[in-house]
Amino acid sequence: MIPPSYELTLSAALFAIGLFGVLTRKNAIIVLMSVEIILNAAVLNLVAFASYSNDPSGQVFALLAIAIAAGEAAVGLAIFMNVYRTHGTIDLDKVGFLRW
Amino acid sequence: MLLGVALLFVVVAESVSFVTWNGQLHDIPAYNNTNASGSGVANSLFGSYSFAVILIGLLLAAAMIGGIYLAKSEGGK
Repeated sequence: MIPPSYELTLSAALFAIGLFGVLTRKNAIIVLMSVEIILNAAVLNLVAFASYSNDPSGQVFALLAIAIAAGEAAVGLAIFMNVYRTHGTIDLDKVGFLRW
Repeated sequence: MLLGVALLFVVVAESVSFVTWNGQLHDIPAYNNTNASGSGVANSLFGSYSFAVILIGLLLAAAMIGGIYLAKSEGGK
């Protein structure tokens, strides 16, 4: 068995990669993929601590988080498709109709 | 930006590495059939968290209907 610190370090790396993608990229789909990477980092933390404490609740929460991520991705992609139809682009710098 | 994210990763990874983990990782079975309220993932999922499963099912159904509606609509018309 590998120590939990390895999994937590991998989770931190995933979170850092996702955060970098959210902060730097302008393409909405890549930003959505980066958000999914951040969610996967959280799921990996849940599974690691569930295995460490021998409690299945963390794995149950991981399954529920994966289901929520699937719904979020479906709605997000549908929104981006609608935005592309109306604006012709999904560049987040050019799509500013949600600003006030 | 890259430097800040890398610094965040280094701080988190180092703080995790310096923690003394006394135990080790365990194998959690998918289903524990020896005890109905045992320590399996399916036992917890359909036992303690059955209401959450129903809520997630409703959320996924709403997301599916909303996604189809948004995808089929003609660009805000």
